[in-house]
Amino acid sequence: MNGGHSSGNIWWRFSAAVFRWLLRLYPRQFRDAYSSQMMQDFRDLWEETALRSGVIGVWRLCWDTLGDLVATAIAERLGKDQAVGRSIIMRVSAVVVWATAVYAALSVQSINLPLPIEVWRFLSWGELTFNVVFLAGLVGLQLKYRQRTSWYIWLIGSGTALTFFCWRPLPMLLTQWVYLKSGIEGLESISYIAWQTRHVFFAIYLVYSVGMLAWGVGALAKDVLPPWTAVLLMLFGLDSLLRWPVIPNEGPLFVQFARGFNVWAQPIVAFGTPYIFVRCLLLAGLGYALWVDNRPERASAEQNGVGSTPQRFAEGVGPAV
Amino acid sequence: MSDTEGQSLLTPASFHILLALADRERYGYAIQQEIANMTEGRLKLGPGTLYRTLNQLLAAGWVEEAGDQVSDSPRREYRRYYRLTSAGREVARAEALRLARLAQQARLRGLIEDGGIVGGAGSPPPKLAGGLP
Repeated sequence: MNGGHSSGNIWWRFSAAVFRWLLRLYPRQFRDAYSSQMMQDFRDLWEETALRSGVIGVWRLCWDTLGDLVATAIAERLGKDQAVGRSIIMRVSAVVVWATAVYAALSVQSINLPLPIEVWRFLSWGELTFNVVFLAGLVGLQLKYRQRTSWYIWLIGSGTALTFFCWRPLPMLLTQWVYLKSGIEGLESISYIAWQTRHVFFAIYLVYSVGMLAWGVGALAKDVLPPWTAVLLMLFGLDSLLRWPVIPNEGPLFVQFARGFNVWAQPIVAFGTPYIFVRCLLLAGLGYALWVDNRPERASAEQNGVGSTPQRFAEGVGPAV
Repeated sequence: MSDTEGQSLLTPASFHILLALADRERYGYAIQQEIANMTEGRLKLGPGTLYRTLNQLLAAGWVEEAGDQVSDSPRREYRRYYRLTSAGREVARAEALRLARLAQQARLRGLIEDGGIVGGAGSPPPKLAGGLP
């Protein structure tokens, strides 16, 4: 990443395009007055960060800026404090996570009902949707707990979740890109073989599970999330870690020892529905945790409270802005 | 502007912006840098927060535009500069005095020493009440 010469940098062009698009969230009057200045500032900040902190620094800057823009755009449109704007995002995130839990539970139940709603079924697309919504919901956590430690913990969890989400299309796109650049034949078939043997899938799944677990443990140990939110994160990670080796027809233990002996898969199948209901309950709990921890009145009190500033400085958080 | 309105406008972000503009006029990015320097990197205002707060301070008459000028950055391009008004300076001064008095009270009660916080910078922060992390 070449700091100081952003114009030819593909990452800068991408960041700038997203930033420019996000500026549309502001009311027109505000946008007309400040968008060009905001763009210039973001460019300077991006270049300085790239020069000083490299890719990780830029990644962090982009996430922080994303939260800042969305929260202030909401606040500007509502005429409220920025803190209230943030709390609204987090409350929406909570509702989304909660709605996913209900939706998943209904879709699992639909398996047992004579309804033509095959497409609803959670099992067929569950992990993908789960991760997207889960990730979107938990962006809210980063907006609130802006400590450095919490950011790294969040990065571990969301990064691994995102990796898992992208595990199928991303390497395909990469190999395609390398093929177009280099002209080396056979890259696509290598990629295809990798998926067929499922080593890549399980490697990513393992990283994801450990990442989720580490996310929860780290959040609990560093006290950056409410304890029960952190515990729920840990449960997700632990759940994923425990179940991946025995996924029917795919898990390595199943493939190693039970290929052709479906009896090994029976407990998983038999307990499939209640198991997913447990996961739904965990999701619902996490959504509720996000909801109750982000009441607008609390955000407003933190913004304007006399005692909040020194406390936040002592924690290295800085003022509520 | 009533006291209540002024009080609600003087958030930590706006006070830091007033402080950053106290010694000279600056443009947006320079304000961000100055605040990061003042707080040793603990407070970094995002562009949204910065310009939204500046917009409020302009409306309140505490800050005014100082026109477009060639910046002292390596790019040497035109940037919009901002400066404090006399009303803004007075508000910042009053708030600084209020905080100084509070700091003095904290010093008298042994919470802080002249060199810093009792217990050192590395001591664990206190837990917040009310379930906050």
